[in-house]
Amino acid sequence: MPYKLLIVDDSKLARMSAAKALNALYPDWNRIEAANADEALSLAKQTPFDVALLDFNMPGRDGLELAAELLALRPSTPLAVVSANHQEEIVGRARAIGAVFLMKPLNEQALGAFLQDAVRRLEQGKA
Amino acid sequence: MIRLEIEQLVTAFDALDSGIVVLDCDQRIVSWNYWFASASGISADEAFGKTFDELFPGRPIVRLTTSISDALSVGSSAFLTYTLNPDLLPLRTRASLPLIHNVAVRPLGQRPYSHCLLQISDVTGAAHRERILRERQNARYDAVVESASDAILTLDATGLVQFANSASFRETSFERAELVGRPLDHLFEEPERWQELWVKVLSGDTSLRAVEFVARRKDGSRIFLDVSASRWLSDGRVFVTAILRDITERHVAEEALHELNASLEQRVADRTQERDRIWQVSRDMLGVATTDGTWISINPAWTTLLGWLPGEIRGKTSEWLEHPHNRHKMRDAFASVALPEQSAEFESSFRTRDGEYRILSWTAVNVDGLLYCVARDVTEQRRQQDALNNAEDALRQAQKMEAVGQLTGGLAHDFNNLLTGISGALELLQIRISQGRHKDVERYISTAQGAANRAAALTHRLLAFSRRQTLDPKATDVNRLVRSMTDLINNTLGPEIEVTMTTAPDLWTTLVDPNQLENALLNLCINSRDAMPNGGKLKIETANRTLDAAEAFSVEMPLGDYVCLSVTDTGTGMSEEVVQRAFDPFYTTKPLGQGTGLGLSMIYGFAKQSGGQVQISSALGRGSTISLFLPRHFEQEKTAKDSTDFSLAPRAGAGETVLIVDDEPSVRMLVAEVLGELGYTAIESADGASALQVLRSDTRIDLLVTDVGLPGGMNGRQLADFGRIARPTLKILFITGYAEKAAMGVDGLDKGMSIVTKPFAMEGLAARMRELLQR
Amino acid sequence: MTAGPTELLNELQLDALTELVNIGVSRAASSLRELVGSQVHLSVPNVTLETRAGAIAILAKREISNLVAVHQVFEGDITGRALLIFPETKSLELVRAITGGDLPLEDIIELEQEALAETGNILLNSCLATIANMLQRSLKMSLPEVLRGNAATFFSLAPPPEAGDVVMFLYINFAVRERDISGYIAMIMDLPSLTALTHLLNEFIERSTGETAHSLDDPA
Repeated sequence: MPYKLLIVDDSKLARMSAAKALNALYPDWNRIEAANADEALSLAKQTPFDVALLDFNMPGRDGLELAAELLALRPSTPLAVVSANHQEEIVGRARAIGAVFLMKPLNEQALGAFLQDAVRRLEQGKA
Repeated sequence: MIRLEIEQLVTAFDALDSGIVVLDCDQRIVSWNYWFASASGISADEAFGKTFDELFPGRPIVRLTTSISDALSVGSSAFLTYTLNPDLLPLRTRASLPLIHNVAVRPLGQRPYSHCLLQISDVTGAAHRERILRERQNARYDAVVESASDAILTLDATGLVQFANSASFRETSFERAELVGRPLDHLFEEPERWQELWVKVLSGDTSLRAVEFVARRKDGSRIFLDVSASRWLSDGRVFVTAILRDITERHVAEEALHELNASLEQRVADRTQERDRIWQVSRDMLGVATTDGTWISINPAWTTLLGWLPGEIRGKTSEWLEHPHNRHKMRDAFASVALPEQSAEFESSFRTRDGEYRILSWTAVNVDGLLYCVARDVTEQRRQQDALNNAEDALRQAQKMEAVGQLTGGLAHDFNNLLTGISGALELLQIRISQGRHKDVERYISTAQGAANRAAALTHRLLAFSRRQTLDPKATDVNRLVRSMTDLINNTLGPEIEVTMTTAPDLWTTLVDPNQLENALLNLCINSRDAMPNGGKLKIETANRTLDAAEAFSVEMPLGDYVCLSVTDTGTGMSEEVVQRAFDPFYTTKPLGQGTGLGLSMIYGFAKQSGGQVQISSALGRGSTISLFLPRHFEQEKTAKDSTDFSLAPRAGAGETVLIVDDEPSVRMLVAEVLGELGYTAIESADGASALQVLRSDTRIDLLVTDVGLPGGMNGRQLADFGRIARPTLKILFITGYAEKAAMGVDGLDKGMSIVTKPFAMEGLAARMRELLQR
Repeated sequence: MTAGPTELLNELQLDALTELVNIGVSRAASSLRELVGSQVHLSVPNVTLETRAGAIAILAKREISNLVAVHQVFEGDITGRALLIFPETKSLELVRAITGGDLPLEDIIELEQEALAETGNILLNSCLATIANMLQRSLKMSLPEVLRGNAATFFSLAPPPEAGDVVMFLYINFAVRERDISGYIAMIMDLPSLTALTHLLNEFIERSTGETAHSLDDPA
């Protein structure tokens, strides 16, 4: 079933790249895009989404902060924080709030694995 | 062993981050890697087949060339560092900065060596850093060392100076060449001590503290140095750094301080000794007591003066020493100095060991809770003072007597006249009565009475004048005083001198001893009389005088109101010299035997004592005026009681009997007559014994009137006492002369006794008797 | 050329370049973290293209004091110089942050050269390598060299500047152990290199998004 993916990244290229990957994996899914945390939050309040892909390195609030806020809105939403900055602190924090850490540049495989898992959790959640 | 493919090797060759150059046996470049090409700016292709000389002309790379040839010939390797071989090759970094490099030279392969390998490593960063560090270090070190005011020297293990900072040259005034490269021994006065220290420092003893040395500067002047030294190692080599601090100033100051202290101690000792001596030697009593009066410490004067030993005085108060009359005086005085900074001055008498009393004048000061006291023995002074006072009194009296003496002649004359008058009158009376002519009786009696009265008054005056009295200033009306002296003065002056008295009406009162004033006036009159041996005029004047500032100043008196009494004569007058000395005691212009010369000086003294002044105005041949200024007093004179009128005399009660005792029959008769007139019954006795008999009998006696001076061993006083034994409530009236009254004193009169003095007026006698009987 | 340097790349190309740099910098953060031992915050807010003069001007305006830079040369399809620039006052901060602890000044000075070199190396290499990698090219990087000077010196290093040289100028936020050390990364390349870069970027965009760079020129 088509889910909605929220993609948050200040780089348009990165969003496009993610979109492309999503298309390849789950063509029927919808997606909404935001360039920063504020945009993402306002969008999230208006439009419900199922899964989110959050760039870590953004101006203003970073991806992890945004993740926390989104989870406050909608707990147990499958989230992934994406960054080439795989410092243990960041990875750890992501895991601590229940988000998945994905390396940048994002490859289809990694994304696919995350989305699969996300779907599973969403299905379970519904059941 | 790792085997690499040729391709990999080639890649590796050019990937290296250091330079590789391969030379052939002719020192020609076979190849060099990419790194070296970048660094030198010459590609390997360009360099191929050329020597370094050709490629880099003008470079002093002798050592490099030699190393290369050595490597090729004997197979030796060399390491050329940038420190010793700066700028071997003209290499640049990627940023085009000089590339600081080390070069290692090795032969390649086996003997015979056909090729030589050069490795060039970039040490720019390291060299830079080292330089910076060194610079920083040096800068820091230099900053400290060069700016230090103490001499800092570094010596090597053999004791030679390797480094000396600028302060070293300043401090020692040696020059660099004279210090560096030489041992330091020559600097110190005791080089062996320096050697001792040196050895200790070298051995690595870290417990050493700074040591004082005496050193000599180049000019030979002596300085004191505080030397501290420590050893340090650099690359295994031993160095010693010594810091020489110039403490000459401090030394000089310390020595000066020592001297000062020594002299101070001496001075303190001297002061202390001085003070001890004063304490010991002082004739005044010095002592320290607690605030409650307990003596802690006393000086030897206590013993010298009072005879008590210190142990007897210390530890207790001195109340036991005080005179009974002023016991507690010390205590009270001390109480008044209970507060700090208070001081007290007072007198107190202390008993000596011998039992006599000495008068002490004390000063006590409270300092820090203890009383510091000084006492001076003023016994002698007081005695002398008393003696002086007594002498003064005696002098006054003597002077008065002198004046009295002066009067005697005139008085005798007067009395004579008066007596003549009385006896004459009585004679005539006798004649008239025998003739039966009673018409003039009254007149003769009056005459006689008048004369008698005047005589009595004169006597009274004289007696009053001559009696010894202490000074007793009273508010006095000078006019009245002068008038009362009229008779006396007239007597003194005699008939040849015309006397006028001008008294100011409303004369102010003055506060003065009336006796003294009388004396003064009399003296002045006597002086004036003596100045007019052939007669003349004398004027006595009283006036109110207000002295303004100018006048007051001219007579040396404060300005204000004065009563002025002046005596003016038309006598010989006084020269200026005499005027100057007139008030001097014992100064007299009279011939020897006539007058003591005390008069004017006494007057002067009296005037001054009374707050006034005496002024002489005189000129030779023109007479003199002596003016007495006495300050105005604002109280009125207490007027003496006016003598009572005889007609008002009280009369006797019925049957009242009076016993009259007097050895003089006329007196007895007189008193008896009076008594009879008044209605009393009189019994007469001529002496004490017969009177006592009467008193011991049952006869009614209401009053005893007796003369004090009686013959026969019992005087009136004794009679009175015995009479009182028989009749305890007997009323007694004594008749005495003036002097006797004084001698009897007020104490002599008990209750029911009274006294009357001769001469007395009858009606006064009667009044007294009435008074007694009525009580 | 009349067009300013920024116009040399279109929005998407610039976006792509920025993203590449950010990825590179983020990688560097991870490496640096291993060096430093505590979390490193790194980010590049934006990338601009400037002329040499422009770059000098920006630096001169923003930084008054003397500067210190880590310099590396890159060679390959794109050739140029990369500089990591800090104000001199910040360099010791950086060293302290990197080395941690409270080392005495002498030690800091001694370590400064090395610490700067290695840190700069990590950052610059990371950026360049990422760019190269993503653009599927290889670049050879020289070893780092620490330079001191000012904007003018840095941007005028020999060989002499050429007309049309471009500076890719980025402000880099760098925070370590609560110390905020921010500096600049400048990459100087000649026009041919920039042209090559542009091509490479286009290829990259196509690969990533499945769309050509130019097709997105029109405002969406």
